Amino acid sequence: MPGSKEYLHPEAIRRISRMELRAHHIVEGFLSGMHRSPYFGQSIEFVQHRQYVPGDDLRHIDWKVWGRQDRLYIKQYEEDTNLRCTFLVDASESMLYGRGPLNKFDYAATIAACLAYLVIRQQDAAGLVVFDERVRTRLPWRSSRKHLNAIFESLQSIKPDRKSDLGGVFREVNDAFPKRGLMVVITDFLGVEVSALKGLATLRQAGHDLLILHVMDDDELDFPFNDPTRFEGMESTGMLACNPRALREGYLESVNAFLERVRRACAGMRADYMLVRTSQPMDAVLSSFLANRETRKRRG
Amino acid sequence: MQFVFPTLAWGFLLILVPLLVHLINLMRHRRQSWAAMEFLLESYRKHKRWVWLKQALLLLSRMAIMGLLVAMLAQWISGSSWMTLFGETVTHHYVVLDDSYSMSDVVQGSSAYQKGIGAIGAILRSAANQGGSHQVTLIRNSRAIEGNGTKGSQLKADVAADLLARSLPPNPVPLLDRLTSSQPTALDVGCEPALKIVAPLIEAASNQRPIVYVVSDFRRKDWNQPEGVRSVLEQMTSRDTKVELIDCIDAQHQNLTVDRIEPEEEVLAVGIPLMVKIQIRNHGTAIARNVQVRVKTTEFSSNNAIPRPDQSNSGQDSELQPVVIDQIAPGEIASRRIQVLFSQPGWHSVEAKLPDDSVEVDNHSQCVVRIDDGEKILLIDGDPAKRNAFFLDAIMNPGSNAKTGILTQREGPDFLRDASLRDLSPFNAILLLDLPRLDRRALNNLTQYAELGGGVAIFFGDQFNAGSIEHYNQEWYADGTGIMPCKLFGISTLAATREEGEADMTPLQHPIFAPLMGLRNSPFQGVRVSRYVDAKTTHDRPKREDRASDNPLSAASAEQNERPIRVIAKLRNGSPWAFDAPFRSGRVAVFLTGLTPEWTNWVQDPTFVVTTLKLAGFLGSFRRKETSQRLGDPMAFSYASRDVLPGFTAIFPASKSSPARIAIDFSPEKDEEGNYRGEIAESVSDQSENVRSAMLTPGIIELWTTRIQGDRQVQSFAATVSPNEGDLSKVTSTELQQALKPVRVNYRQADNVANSGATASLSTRNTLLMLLLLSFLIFEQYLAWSTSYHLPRVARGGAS
Repeated sequence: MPGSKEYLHPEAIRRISRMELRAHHIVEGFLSGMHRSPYFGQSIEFVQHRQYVPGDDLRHIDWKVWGRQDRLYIKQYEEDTNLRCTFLVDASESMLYGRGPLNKFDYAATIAACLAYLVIRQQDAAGLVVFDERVRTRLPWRSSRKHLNAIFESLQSIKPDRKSDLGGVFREVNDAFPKRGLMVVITDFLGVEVSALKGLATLRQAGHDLLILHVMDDDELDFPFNDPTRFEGMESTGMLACNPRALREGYLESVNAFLERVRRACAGMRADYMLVRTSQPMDAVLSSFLANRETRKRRG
Repeated sequence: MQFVFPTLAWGFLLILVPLLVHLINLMRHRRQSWAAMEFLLESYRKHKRWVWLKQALLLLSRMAIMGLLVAMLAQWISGSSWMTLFGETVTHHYVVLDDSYSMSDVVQGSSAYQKGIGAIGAILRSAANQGGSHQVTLIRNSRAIEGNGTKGSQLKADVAADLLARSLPPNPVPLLDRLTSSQPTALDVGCEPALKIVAPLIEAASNQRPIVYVVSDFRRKDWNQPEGVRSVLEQMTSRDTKVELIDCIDAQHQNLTVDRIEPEEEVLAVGIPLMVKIQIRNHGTAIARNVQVRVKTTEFSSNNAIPRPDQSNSGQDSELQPVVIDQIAPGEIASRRIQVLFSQPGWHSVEAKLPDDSVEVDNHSQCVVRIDDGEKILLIDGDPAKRNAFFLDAIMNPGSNAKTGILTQREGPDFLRDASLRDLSPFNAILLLDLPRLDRRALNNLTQYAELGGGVAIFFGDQFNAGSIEHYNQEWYADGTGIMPCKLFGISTLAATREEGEADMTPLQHPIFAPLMGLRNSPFQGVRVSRYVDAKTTHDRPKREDRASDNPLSAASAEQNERPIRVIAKLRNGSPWAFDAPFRSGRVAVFLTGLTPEWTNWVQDPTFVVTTLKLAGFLGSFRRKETSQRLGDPMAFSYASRDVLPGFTAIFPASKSSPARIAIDFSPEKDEEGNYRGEIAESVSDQSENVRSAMLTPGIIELWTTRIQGDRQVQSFAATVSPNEGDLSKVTSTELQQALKPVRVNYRQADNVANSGATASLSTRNTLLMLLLLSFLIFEQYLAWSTSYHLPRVARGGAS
């Protein structure tokens, strides 16, 4: 269903201003493109039958129905609520950068909203932490619809304008969410690389599963500037007037080295890492999240 | 630093454009908020110096590109120091242009000279188009003749060169304006003098690259003896000089030349017919048939004449019956004698003119004859009764209506003794008749007279005896220094027995016998000789080394002993009977006989009359003033100050470049003897091109003076061209290269040069600039690329 995919592009998403609608739109659009339902688990409480479609797990076929009616049906049960997922969204000033349809923060907030929608829709509990140099918003785990709305409002109301300090924030989060769960960290790691990685290590040591969504703008990865430009640092990191073409090569070397360091650090702490461009459609992020959840469930 | 288009040099201000763009870019930086500042600053810190250096180099290379572009457009001409930096030097084009009259050879309406100038123009245009720094020096052969006469190589070139080390402008045509309006001269001059002027210039300019162009028609006569030219060219090529021979004519053309026109050695007097000999040479390759020679005389009035510079001459022209020559074989000369008659004394001219052919200058030639009322002959007779002089006087002054033009004066030996040289000077010849001896003073006067060009004839006679022989040998011969050309040995008797039909005396080829020679029967058959003076004209003379050993006289006297003696009549026993010999400027004719019947009956023979009259003319011809000379040679003149007023006017013939005759005033200085002496000579340095051209035009030059009495008189001179220059046979390029070996020369036809000039190759200078420009462009692009000014094709996604 290529038509549904179009709704996952940042250009399409930007047109939807309300975070609630945006999350609904993205997640439903994403799910309608899948061949089988990804989020119905195994439980003792039967919910419904549905007709088999290729790709469904054969273990879920109701063979009795097949014996009576000679048709293949799948038995669906209501899944247990056993996932506690916390979304840590970076709202520092550097996240405001973006020349595309969405800046990095918009993109990060949208991802968080979508994932929260997805989590709560399948009866899991979702929590939210929005932070810069400190925690600006913290919502505990809940699985109600009402809580989802609170998450949407929190993401929509925040205005990033400060520096970030991921190390301190992650320690605070660790204290606030003592039970183990899935921590989805959405950040750009800019200016806080070392402290952020230390904070992540703390979370990992506390038993949390980590999904790192490293949000970067295309400009930051490609540095496509040609004309003489005066670059002004967004978190009071200085100013530089230069010919960007002359510095491009060195810049890309530094950025790539930075990405490699972050990737290696995440791999070292067995955290799932994903570099996300703000120009990318959201489905890749959602797929990655679901794959992560499946893995967790298998690990049990 | 010079430019072909100096206005475009303002374009060098464009060099500042890259700088301005750079500054403007600095001022108009775009502001951009940036999150990943740490990586940008890190890159900046790492590459700051290298980036700055590259930026500076990029800026400089762009400025250099602008500069080179403007230099190319403005056609930069660098000075030698700059060119040396680029490995180039000034190319100096030395052009030697042949302007002898054979260069007037016309082919298809254009003369070889014009073709040569066209080729020079093409060479210079080609050089200008090639770029680099060029100089040109141009010398015409005719101007080099005077140039070689001055001191110092540079001075020579200063005087002779039309262009001397002139920088070659982009359009060299105006440089040749003066040359284009010029014409070939009527001179016969090769390229050696001009090359000798060029050689030291090449020697002096060691930092230049010399190319010598010899622009000529390469006639065979000029290259028969190429040693001189080869030597100069060898000297040049030792300095890495390139030699180009530009041939302005492709083949030999038909040409007839008036080889000579001159009066015969006769008595020149009013009313006496004068024979003028005309020689026509066929310089072509085919037989010339029915050649019509027009003859014109111009009679100048000796009294109350009026100069008329506005007309072709100031005399009275008379056209004579043309002479038609049936045919002249190639290379042959046809001679004709014409008779002219002048009715009044003066300096009259005779002109022979041929029909037009490829070379016009040599189609006409003139001679001037000075006609007097009569020619004076002095007869000195040793016979007191003057019997000898009687015979001659009777012939020279026959009386009645018969005119010989000779005015005789009979005198005794005393006259010679008492007369001064001035008294003798009016006489055209002195005939000595039967003088047994002569007073030493008289002999001195006679010797001086002969030395200054006088003609002397010696006859013996009855009074001549053994004592006279000793006197002659001692005083007259004087060991070869005297007026007598040889020793005498005594008086001999010719044996009376003779074979049938054998003549006692046989004349040999000589002007005085010329009218009587070539007849079927010798008119001298009737001449009988009884006695004669025995003289040895050759075999009795001492050998040169013997004379040198026993006679410590000066070299002059030894040279005098070498006087050529020409036997002009022999006896049947082989003894000389008459001979003549030059003596200084004069002439001495000796007849070893007397005039009385005891010696010979020749006086009574008709041949004696003819011979005597011819002898008078022959002897008189040596003291006549020179009235014809080669063009370009200085023309000397002198006037007694007692006869004329100071201040002369010379009127030169009209030339192509100056159709009206040019009159020039002279004020010659008075010499010690009170004579006005002067010289008319063309001068490269002192005269304008027009005056020089007129002076180098063949024809009649009139020299006008004012006599003390107040009336005007004119003397005319004939300026003639060298007939050899009319020889148009050519040497081939192979022969030229062979003749000039080991000098390596490049031979080209003028037409080819002219054509090649239009398709000049790309200039070396512009090629150099182009290469530099390309180098800078590549360098600039490399710098721009290395400073990441060129974005990679895959601009996005590289970091994902």
